[in-house]
Amino acid sequence: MTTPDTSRQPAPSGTQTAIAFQGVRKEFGNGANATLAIESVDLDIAEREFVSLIGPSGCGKSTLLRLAADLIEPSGGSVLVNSKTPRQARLDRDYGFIFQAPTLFDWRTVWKNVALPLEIMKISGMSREKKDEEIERLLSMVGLDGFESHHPYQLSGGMQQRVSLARALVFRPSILLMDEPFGALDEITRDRMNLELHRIWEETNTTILFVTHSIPEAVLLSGRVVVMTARPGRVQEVIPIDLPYPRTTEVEESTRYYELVTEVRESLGRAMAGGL
Amino acid sequence: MTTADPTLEAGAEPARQWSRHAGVVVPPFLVFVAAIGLWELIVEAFDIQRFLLPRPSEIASLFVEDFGRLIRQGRNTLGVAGRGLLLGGGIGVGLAAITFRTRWMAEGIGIYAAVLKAVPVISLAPLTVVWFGIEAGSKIATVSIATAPILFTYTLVGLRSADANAQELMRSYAAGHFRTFWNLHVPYALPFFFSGLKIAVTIAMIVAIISEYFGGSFENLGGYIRNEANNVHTVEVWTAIVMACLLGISQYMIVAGIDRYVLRWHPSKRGN
Repeated sequence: MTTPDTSRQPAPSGTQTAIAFQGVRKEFGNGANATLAIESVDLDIAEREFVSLIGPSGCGKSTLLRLAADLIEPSGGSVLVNSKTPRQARLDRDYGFIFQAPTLFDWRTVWKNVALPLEIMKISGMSREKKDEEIERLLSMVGLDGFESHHPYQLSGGMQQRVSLARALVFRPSILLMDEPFGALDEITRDRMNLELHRIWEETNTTILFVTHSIPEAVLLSGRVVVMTARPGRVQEVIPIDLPYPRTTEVEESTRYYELVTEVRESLGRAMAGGL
Repeated sequence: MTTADPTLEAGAEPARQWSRHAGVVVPPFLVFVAAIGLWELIVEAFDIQRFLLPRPSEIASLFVEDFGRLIRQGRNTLGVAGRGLLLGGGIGVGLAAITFRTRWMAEGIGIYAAVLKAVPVISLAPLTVVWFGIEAGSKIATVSIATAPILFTYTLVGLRSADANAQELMRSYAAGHFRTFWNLHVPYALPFFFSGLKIAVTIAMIVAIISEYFGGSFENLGGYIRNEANNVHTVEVWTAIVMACLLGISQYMIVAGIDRYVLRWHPSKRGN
C-alpha cells in the first residue's frame, strides 16, 4: 500500500465551512407526545468534503439532512449552510437533495426529468443550447446516453437513481444532500453507483453529506464518517478516513480499508449500546 | 437493465394484438345481434302490441327516417349536458384547486359535496325551473348541481395524492406555488380527474334528459320523448332512446380516449 494521498482531504482550518450544525436539537410533536430526535449536535462540514452519517435507525441522520435542506426547522441551536440560514440557502438553490426513492416524474421523459430544475429555476445567462448541452453531458456522465426519451418506468431502479443524480447535478449546486440514495439497490448496482458517485464528486467540487446504513459504503466514499447514537441522536464519534484517492476497487481490498470498516463497526456497536 | 419498450412489443406481435382486440369486440357484438333477433322473434311470436313493445326493425327504420331531426334534438340535449358539465366541472375543479392545501376548507366543502351526491339531484329540477326559467337555463343548472360534487371530490383526492418526496423536491428547488401546482399536483390529479369525468359525462346526459321531461322546448331528446310518450307514440320514443344511448356512449368513449392518450405514462394505462 502506498502512503495515503490525503490531498483531497480538507485542511482543518482555512477552508470554508459548507454546513455547520451548532447545538442542534430537534423535537417532533409537542407536549407529552414530543419525541426528541436529535440533541446537541455539533458538526462542521467543510467545502468539498464528503461526509457520511451513519447510525442505528431512528438516530436522526435523515433529520440532520432535512434540517440542512430547510425541509424541517430545528427546535434549538443553529444550522448554517454556506454561512446562510438553510432557508436562504434553499432559496439560493445552494443544494441538491437526493432521496432514497428516485422520485422521478413518470409523465416526463428521462431528459425532461433532468431538465426540471432548469425549467423551474430559469437560470439567467444560460441559453437553451447551453442547457441542452449540460443535460446531455450529465446523462452521459451517469451512463444514460440513448435513454433520453425513455420514461422512468422503462428503466431499472439503478438507472432511475442515476437520473435523479443527474437531475440533482444539473443546476450545479455546491452541496449534495443524499438520504440513503442507494439503499434500495442490489449490492452489485450499489457498488457501481458508489464508485460512480465518488468519481463525480472528484470531478465536480461538490460538498456531499451522505446518509447511509452501510458501513463499507460510508468508509469507501467518505473523508470522514460521523457515527451517531440513537434516540436522541447525538454525534458519537467522527472517524477520519485516511484512505488514498481516488477510491477504487483496489482501495476496497486494502488492509487499511478493513481496519477502518472495523473501527466504524465498533464505534457503531458502542453507539447502539447507549453511547460513551 | 429491464427496459420494456411498449412500441417494440406492439410491433413484434401484431397478429396477437389483433386477435386480442377481436376477442374483446366479437363476443359482445354476437350477444347484441342475438338479443335483437330474439326481441324481434318474441314480438312476432306473441303478437305483442306495437305501443307496448315495437319490433327492433320498426324502430331502426324510423330511426333512419327521422335521423336528421333526432340529431338536431340530440345536439340540443348534448348542448345542455355539455354546458352544465362545463359549469359544474369548472366549479368542482376550481374549488378543489383552491382548497386542497387548506384542510378545513376542503373538509367544509367536502361534506356538502357528499350530501349533494347522496341527494337525488333530479328532485331539485322543479326548483331550478322556478329560479332559472323553463328553458335551457334551469336544465344547465341541474346538470351543474349533479356534476360539480363529483368532479370536486375526485379532483381533490387527486391533487392531494402527490408524492411526499416529490413535494419536498419541489420545495428544495424553491419552486413557487403555481409551479408546484402545475408541474406536480396537476399530473397527479389527472387520473382521478378523468375517473370523475367519465362518471360525470354519463350523469350529465341522464340529468339533462330527465330535466327536459319537466317542461320547456320539445326540440330536444327529453322534450321529444315526453311529447311522443303522451301520445303513446312508442316507436318514436324508442328512436329518441336509441339516439340518447348512442350520444351517451360516444361521449363516454371520447373522454375515455382522451384519458388514455393524456395518461399514457400512468401505470393503469401503459400495460406491461
